[in-house]
Amino acid sequence: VRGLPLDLTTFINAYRGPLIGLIVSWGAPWADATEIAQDSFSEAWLNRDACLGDWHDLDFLGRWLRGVALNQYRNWFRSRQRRNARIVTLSPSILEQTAVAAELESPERLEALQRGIERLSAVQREVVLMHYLEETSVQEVATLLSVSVKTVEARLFQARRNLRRILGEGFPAV
Amino acid sequence: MPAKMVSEEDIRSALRSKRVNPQNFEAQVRARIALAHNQRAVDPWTGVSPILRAAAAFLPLSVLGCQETPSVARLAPVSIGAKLLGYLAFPAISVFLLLGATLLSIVKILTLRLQNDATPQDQIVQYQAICCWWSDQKWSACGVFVASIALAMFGASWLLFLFYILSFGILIAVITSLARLGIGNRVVVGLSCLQGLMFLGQTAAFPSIGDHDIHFLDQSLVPALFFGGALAIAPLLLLSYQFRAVPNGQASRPVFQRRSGAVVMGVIFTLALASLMAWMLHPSLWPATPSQIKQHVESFDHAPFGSSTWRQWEIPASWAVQSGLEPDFSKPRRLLAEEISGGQDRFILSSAARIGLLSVDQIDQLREYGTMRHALVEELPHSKPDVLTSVGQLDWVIRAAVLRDDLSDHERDIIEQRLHATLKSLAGQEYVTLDDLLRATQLLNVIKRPVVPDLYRATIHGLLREFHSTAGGGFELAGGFRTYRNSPASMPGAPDATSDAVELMAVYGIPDGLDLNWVRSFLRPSRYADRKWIAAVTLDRLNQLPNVTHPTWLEYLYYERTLLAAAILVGLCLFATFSSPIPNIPNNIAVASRELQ
Repeated sequence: VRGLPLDLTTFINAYRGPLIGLIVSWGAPWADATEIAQDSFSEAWLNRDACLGDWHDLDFLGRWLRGVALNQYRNWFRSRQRRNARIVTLSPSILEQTAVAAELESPERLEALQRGIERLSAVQREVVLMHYLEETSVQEVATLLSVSVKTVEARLFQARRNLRRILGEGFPAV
Repeated sequence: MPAKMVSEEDIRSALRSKRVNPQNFEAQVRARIALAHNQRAVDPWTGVSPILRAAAAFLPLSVLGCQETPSVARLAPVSIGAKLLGYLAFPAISVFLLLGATLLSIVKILTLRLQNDATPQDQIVQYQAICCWWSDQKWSACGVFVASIALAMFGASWLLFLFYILSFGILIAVITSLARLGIGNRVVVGLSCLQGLMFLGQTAAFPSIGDHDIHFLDQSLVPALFFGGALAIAPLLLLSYQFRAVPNGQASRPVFQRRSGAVVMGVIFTLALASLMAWMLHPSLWPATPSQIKQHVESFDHAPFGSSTWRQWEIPASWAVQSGLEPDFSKPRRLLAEEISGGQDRFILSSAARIGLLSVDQIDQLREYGTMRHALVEELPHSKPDVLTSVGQLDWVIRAAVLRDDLSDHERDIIEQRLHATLKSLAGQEYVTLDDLLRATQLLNVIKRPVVPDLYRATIHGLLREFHSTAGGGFELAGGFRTYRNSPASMPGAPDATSDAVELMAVYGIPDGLDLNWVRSFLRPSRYADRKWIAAVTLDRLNQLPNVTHPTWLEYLYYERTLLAAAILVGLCLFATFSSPIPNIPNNIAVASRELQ
């Protein structure tokens, strides 16, 4: 799709998975991350004329999207803080965990793997969530993070090795 | 041994449950976009920041081409902080935007009427909107204009420009944001900036600007910078005027129209502004170089104001001699010969003798030499040596006597005692001048009885501090040394007295507590010919003083903050103009040009 006139569907399909993964890696729960990602896509698309560059370039629009998403995430974070200050109730993360536990019913091995991903360093967790959530290419991940493809590949490699170390010898490896 | 890793398939499986439905996700995004479109159709200010709304409340939005009523902006519920920021944009709106918009509307109306086009309703509406704005805000806007002129006149120009930078920064943010909403164009913004820069350039061109502060550069650079900014914008506007959208079936497309009237006006404006800038930049671009100083010294063949002209010539001439430039004094010698055959003014003879123009064979022609020399070395019956009442008038007599080797050791002793007595008495005299102190000090050297600086250091330093003036005005800069002791404190310094002070500092050292940056500021390049050469050579002498400290880069930046602020303001104007969309042209000039070709 690179080099062709860009439409909204192509734009969303290219960055949906990595953007949700990126927002989760910043600290938003999965459900909120999806909402933030939807807001970011609509905001970026509506204001694409305002960005100083060629918005038909998928890479350029990806970097623009990341900036928009960061602003959206900050707004969400601030409003969550205000909400938390006013309402004394279960924190969103607990609600999230409860909801996830109820809906997932995952095998024990996959749950251990999910916990292992949580224990990765921030940069490694970031690329794992962005790349493996929807099997997005390394190129899109690199574009969103404004780093090289080689850097993303190196981080993925280290993340998989660290995951093996975290999960222990009993966990199947390749 | 290969590293053991978790398989990619396992990781994907672990995250599979978190995936979203692509169709649902896209539908949600499209729903959000549709909702935003609907909201913007009803209210164009949806999503606009509160600061922008507050600032826009001051703007006559029809000037920028907005067809919507600005009431939504006025009624916007904004915080006090946002309102304050909006108020801060008011001066820039008054000075930059409205001046340009008014002129633009009038020009457009006149142009359309001359072309016998349909009634220019849009332009009239714009013009009426501006008039309405002026009517609403006239007192505030007048206050801004008066405050701008007053601040520049009273020397607070850096504060003025700093304020405008802040104000204009907000205005640019407003205009840029409005441009994203499709309101505003390059012609309006560019012409507004052009008018604003011209106004500030004229404000900054007051002769008194910067006279009261320390500056190392000629402050004519500030208005020149503003006019330079205007000059940079002018061709761009001229180019924009070449393009005009005309109806072409359903859509309008840009066409290239040559408007000879606009081109001629633009060329005249550019030439006039360039000439003005060249005049303003003259002192900075063509400073007094050693070769020019030598040329100036050698060309001295006319003294319209007698001894005063000789004195002004003497200072650069002595510097040229001391610097080893070996100037050709044939013309000054002819002038001296005319003086000797005529009036034989004592001050002129002294100036000539100090430079070394007076020759031994000319001394016999000096009518007063014999009697004045006798009076100089005459021993009086009382024990205390007499002070010399006017060292400046006797200077040539002592130098001539030394030149002719006409003084015995005993006579030299008498003159030495009288010079020391003069130096001691001068400190307490009401009408003492730095010139008298310098001549007495120099004459001790001439008779080979050099002064011991420690003897008079404290006295001279006290006098230098007393004569130093940080007052400016009357076309004279602050930071020089006054000619007379009893001058009022508001009296600025004089170039020749400052030259004397620097030469005294070369002998007695730099007084404690005297900020040499003031003196440097007084001696900065100037376009006034009578002080240009004196200032240049005195500044060089000052910078050559032993143990002198030179200004640091930080000091340069601090003292040239006005210029820095003006440069930032001009940069902001250029940015605002170049980043604004081109009017009635879909893409840009380059694209349009290609289409037309």
